[in-house]
Amino acid sequence: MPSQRDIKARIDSVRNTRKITRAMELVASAKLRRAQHRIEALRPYASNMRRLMSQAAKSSGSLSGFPLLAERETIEKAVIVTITGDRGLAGAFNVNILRTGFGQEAAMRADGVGDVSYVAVGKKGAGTLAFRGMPIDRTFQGFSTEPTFADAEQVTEHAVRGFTEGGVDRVLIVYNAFKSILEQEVTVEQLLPVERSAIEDDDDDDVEHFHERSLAFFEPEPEEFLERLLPTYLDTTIYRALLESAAAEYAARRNAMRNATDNAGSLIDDLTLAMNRARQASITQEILEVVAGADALS
Amino acid sequence: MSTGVSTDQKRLGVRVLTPEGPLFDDVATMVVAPSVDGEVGILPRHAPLIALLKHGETRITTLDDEKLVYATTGGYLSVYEDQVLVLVEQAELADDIDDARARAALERAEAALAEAEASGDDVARVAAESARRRAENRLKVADKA
Repeated sequence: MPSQRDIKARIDSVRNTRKITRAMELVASAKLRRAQHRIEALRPYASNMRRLMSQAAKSSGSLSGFPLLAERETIEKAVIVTITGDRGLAGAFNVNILRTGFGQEAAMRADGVGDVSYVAVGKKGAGTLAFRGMPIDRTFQGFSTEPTFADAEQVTEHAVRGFTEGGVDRVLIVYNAFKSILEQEVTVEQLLPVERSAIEDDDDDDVEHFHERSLAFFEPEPEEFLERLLPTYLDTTIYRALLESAAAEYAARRNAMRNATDNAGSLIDDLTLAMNRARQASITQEILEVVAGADALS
Repeated sequence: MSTGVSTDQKRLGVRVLTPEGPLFDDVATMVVAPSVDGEVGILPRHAPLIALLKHGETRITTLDDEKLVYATTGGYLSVYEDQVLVLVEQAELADDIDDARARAALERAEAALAEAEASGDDVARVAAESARRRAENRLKVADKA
């Protein structure tokens, strides 16, 4: 049985740990709020951009001449972009992404896609993929919690280059979507080729205006306009995914740290009980010794 | 929306939106933006227009005749029923541009570009080039204002 002093030392250590996890929980909550604001700030830009895109698509004669929309007949080479955090201590946040990525890889290989490689965004994902010996096309890191639009542009640039020049036939992104503070949802989206439905749906309610809108004068022509707009659409898609992932990372870390803090609390309770019991036992022991000594003298 | 269709024919509802958030959302009398085919000026009752914008400056004349000058990156312009939408990656009010900081950003971009060229990393090169273009444009607009 551990002595009182041993238990006391453990309680102090757990208490210190709890201080740290509680501080991390508070920091994550504060940063989570900022990250949520950034998602909100992107919304008007993103929805108006999609509307412009669908207008351009409707005014363009056909959608067949666009390399970024071209669905390849056979898919031989695919890239999975995994968006993870640069840091751990966020529960299953990073693991979930990689597990889903591996699942997608297995599914594609079963469909006869011979060459599947990864683009790792985030240090944690890059580390795990390298450790497992997975083929890594490229890694991006250093911006998982504070992504900028320029960061997203780099990822897009790489993906687009692979698709148009590097023989890649499909690009998927896997990221944690921020559903709520308590819930992150691993989401898989097809980045390239851009799905037609993404362009043509404009989630716009006032459809009756569409006819008049389509009369807008385009400068340059709608086809060229759309071609220039598509990369920005991809930038926005990736940027949104990065922002959602950043918010989800903070939410996951906050939950993980809250659980750790709670666990530390119950551990302290258990240890305190054990310590009191040990103290009581030693007192009882001493009384017995005193009584036994007195008996022996009489 | 705060800038709903105005009944006053001499007004434009103008919104300048970037991925980092809206920068301007108010009524104005005139907008001048740098389209790829040259500057376009938008006055109330302009015909519907959708245009590509290049790097340059976007000017907004407000109701009290104040001129706001923004250094804007490439983007998109849409005009429909006196609603003007400017979608750009980045925009900064010329008066807010800190010359020293903008110059430092340009130097950083040039250093990044040199590094990317040395290492033969095309993706980093493209990113550095666009950072340099943004920095140059900021300086140019700030100098004029």
